[in-house]
Amino acid sequence: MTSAAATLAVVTDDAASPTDLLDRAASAIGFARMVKRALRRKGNNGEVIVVPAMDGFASGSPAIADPALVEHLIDRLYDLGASSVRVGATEGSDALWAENRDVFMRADLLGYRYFTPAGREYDIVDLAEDAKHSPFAAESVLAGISLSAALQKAAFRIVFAANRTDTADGYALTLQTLLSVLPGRDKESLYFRQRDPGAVITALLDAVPIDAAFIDAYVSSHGHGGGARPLAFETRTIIAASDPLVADQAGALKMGLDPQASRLWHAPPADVEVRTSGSVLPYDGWVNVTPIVREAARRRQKDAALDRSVRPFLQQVDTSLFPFRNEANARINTWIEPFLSVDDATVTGRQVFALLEMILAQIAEGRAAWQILFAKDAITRRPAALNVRAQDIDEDRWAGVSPTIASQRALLSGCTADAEGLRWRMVDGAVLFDCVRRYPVPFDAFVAAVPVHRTIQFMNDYIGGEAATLASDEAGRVTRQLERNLYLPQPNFTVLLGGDIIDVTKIETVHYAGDRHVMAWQTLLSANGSALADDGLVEFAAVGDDTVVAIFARQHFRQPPLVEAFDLTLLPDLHAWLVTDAYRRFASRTFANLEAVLEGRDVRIGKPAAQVGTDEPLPIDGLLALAERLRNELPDDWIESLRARFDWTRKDHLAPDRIDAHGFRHFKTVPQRSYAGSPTHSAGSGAAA
Amino acid sequence: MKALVTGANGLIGANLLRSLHRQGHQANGLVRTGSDLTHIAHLPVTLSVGDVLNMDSLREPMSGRDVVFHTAVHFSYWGHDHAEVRATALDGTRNVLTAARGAGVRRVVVTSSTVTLGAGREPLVRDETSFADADDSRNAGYVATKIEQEARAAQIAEETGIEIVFALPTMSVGPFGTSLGPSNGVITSYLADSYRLSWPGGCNIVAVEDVADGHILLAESGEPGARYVLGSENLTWREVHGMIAELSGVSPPLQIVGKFASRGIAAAQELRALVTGSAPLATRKQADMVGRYYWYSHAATQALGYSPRSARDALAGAIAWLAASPHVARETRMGMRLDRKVHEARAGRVRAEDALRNRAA
Amino acid sequence: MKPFQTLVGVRKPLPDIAAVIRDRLPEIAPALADVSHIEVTCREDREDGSTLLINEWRVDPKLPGPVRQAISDEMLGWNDHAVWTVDLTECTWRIEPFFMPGAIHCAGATRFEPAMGGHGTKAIFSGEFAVDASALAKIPPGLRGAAVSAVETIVGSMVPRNFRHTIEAAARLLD
Repeated sequence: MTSAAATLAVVTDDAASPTDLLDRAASAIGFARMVKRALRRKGNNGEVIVVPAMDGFASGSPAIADPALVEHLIDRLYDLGASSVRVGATEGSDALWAENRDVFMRADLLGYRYFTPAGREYDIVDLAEDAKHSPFAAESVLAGISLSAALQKAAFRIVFAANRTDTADGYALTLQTLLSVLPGRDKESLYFRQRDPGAVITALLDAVPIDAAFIDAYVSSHGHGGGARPLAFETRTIIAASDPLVADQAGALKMGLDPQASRLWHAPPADVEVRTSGSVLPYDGWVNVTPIVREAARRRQKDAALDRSVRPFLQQVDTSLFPFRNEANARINTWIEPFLSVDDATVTGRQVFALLEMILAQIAEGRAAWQILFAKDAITRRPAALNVRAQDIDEDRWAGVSPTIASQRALLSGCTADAEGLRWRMVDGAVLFDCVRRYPVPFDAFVAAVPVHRTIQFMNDYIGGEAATLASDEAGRVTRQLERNLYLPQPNFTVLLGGDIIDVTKIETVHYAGDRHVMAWQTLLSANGSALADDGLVEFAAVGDDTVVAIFARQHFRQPPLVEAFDLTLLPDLHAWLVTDAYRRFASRTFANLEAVLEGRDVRIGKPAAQVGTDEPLPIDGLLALAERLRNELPDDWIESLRARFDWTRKDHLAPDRIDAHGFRHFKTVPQRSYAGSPTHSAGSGAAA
Repeated sequence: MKALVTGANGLIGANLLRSLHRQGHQANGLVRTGSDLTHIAHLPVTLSVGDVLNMDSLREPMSGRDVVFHTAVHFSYWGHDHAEVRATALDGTRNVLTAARGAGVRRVVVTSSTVTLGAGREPLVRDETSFADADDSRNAGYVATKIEQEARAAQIAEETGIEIVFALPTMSVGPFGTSLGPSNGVITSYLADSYRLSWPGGCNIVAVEDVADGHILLAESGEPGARYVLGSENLTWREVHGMIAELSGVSPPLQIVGKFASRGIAAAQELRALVTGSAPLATRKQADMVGRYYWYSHAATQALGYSPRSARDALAGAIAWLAASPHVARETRMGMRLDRKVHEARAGRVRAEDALRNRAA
Repeated sequence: MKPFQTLVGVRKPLPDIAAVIRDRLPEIAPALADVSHIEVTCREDREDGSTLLINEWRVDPKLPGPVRQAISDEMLGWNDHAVWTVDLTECTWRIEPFFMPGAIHCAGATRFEPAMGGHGTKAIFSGEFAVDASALAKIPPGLRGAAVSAVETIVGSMVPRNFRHTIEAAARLLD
């Protein structure tokens, strides 16, 4: 967390060596004092962790922090009293498609020697190896994610970034580098697609505050290829700060960018005083990723399968150091290289790259729409940690839930249900609806299999979320709960018009009577602004030997701009048809889900979210496995056998034994076979034609 | 009766174990190494590990048994090597009969199939006096194997003097099979078919529970060497699909397709299965059966006291099982709304299973 | 001449890993896909400290149907002639396939270097192979395509791929 004051130094000098610049920048921010104070505070613990940018694919790449600089810094740390200095990183998703990408070999090949210029040893560590314990609270966006014990215990933590552009976020500096301490290879899925990356960084900085941040801008990497296509550019600058947010802010300004361009960055608190030395004027001649490419890259990266497939194609790789694991990736990468190697700094080069990213973005969005409309089980579920705290909700709020919902439901009285049992009306721009289904299942059996407090998770198009029990009755049944739910865009077709996932956090109360269980809920907040209202109730009631389930809701979802711009209420018949269709579909599928839950089925749509410790194979590996299976199972002469099958000249009936004078064809009769000693049976009862 | 059931974890075997136990008989089961025992492990029966292709493994399980029910078979039009199907049917049956004779077993009930009675393009009802044409190319594969199995079994029985009775189930649907099987597959295929296709011809649907009870009846009262149909109602495919639709709450058949279209669809299904690695919803072998009437009379078995439930009840019980199984995809399940009859069938099955568990405890 | 090179890193000290590669290759064979077995048919410890080894590799790769049918089982494999320096930092090797003997030239060297501050080893495997065109001419035209395909599969990709797996398997033996 940022302290009350922060220091920042931007040191540029065309005549100075990189180590000189580093020394000067460190001195300007009071680095020595910071280190000594931290070591003193920690007593016997003199351990320092340095997290450098190490995601390059060639020795000497401008996309990595210069190992010589890092080693020079390590010497300084030992001079200041550090007892052990370790360089830490974890594997990234590139380890799935390239060889030698483990932390140790990668460091060696990129130039780390394991000893400093002064001959002192330092170790390289994989920070995932000792990540056994999670320091994150249950409501944190990183809840359940473990973190390196060495990193957590360290007396002093340093991030040492390279100075480079990034296709999706404009720039990748200390905050991007910091993400490399998190476990799990597929970081794009774990920390960008499934979570808000900005919230991830905030949680990380809270758990393991960074004491000093450096940016190696001596030889930088600019251009719109970002880390995939590093383009060296001499900027002869070192940036140092006591806070990574401050460092990144300066680094972005030096690139001529608004720091807000990156999803990772947020402004330090306004009350933090930043003592600055040096200039944040932009580098002369610097080329940034264009906004169009940034936008397209983000859209492309939302599609996990597509993103994971194309990264190996787009990345420039020194294959003598990091060969491709898969020959197909190697060939495509080689084939595509000339197209992308058009001079990045020229307009033509930029346009080629922009075109490619835009095409990929379109493919990604097309696939997402297809999945939402036609292939829901291909969607990846999302973890969504609860984003409210129980202590922030007062008793009046809890007490008001049921009466409020009851009064909303009363607005439907007088409305007639249709043949499907659905009735609805519009009130203040929201849809109020209810629907009923009768299950020929005894009440006790029904509620034993379908807990009413989990009903929302069983509703149509539920894609992820989390619930927390706050109170239970004597029988252990949930009576109060907070819940966050994610749903696919509603109606689904709005995905074609830019519709987003619906994200709602709710407060819920549950009441149990002998023959009636009721859960009522109200919206607390919607993290992405997708839901203005999503209140309601579900009721399970015993009726004879059956169970009747009723669902009521008041829903007002924000529609995509294209839909909002067109006022459908001006066409009431069309509007009524669309709403009825949407809610009939919701009702029938939700009720079918409840019936399936009764059977013990898992009604969740989609595939499980990516997990730390398990890696989904790359799509190309799956395709190759399929090709292998086809090659093994189809006969070698499959073309010939296909042709033979469709040979229209072949007659498919028996040849006659003889043809008599009248032209009748006579066939040889099939000999009757009977089993020795077995009596025959005459035709008896049974349906006859 | 002390009985041994081969193929105990199969659709018929698992139900036969239950019927035997319910009727107070002592039932043992024979399963192969690595078999899925999910639906029989909890039954109060002794399970032995053996293989009908390994004669030595049959002697001990058959020792002391009065009756052997030989249900072990690969019933499938896909996914099994034909040589394997043949070996199980022919060599396996020979081993079972020989070992049974050696163990002093009085009678063997061999599960065959009504496909050995043949089928035709006319809606005629066949009975045990009919025989399918083994030389007809349409009867290649599974059907030819069953025809040959019956013939060889009869011959061996005559040579060894052991009593043999042939049970000829029609299309048996219902619970407790470890794999889907073509009969239950008819139901899941229709549910998964968004075009709601049906086809000409017809079949006879029977509840597998009744098939199991029928086997016991044949063991007790069947005439040696005789074949007995274990079926229920004869229906057109349109009627069958209509019943499935009604019981599942999905739309009824919209179109009737002929054989050529069926073959095309089946070929596409087989290719999809090859690509996805999952079983096809239909195969070309099955498509060849389109337009034919697999209608049979169970009058002879009825005379022994066989009284099967209706096809509708049989389908209700099968759908109750299948709807909750992985054989019906999630998306398909979401389009279903089960009829009361299906819920009742499920409740009945659950009660019966609970009773079995309580008795075992 | 078709050159190939690959670099493999393992976190085992050089003397340990190189010794395993030199002395325990037959134990590694089960870990290699498509390799049936490896047998040491000759070992000569020379006066200068170097070691000559001849290892017989028997393989069963997935070749296209017609190609596989044209090649008998006895032809699938090679003799690997290797000369190791006394300090285990270099191994010069030559491969003699049973298929088209004398017609295929495949040779190179493997260098072992300390890495990771001495905690690990870099193994750099480089070589080249060529097919004698005149030897190809002796093969019936109908089988020539199959022959080239087999050579490229067996020599061009199996050998380098197996090198990486060999090093990784050797590291596991040391665990």
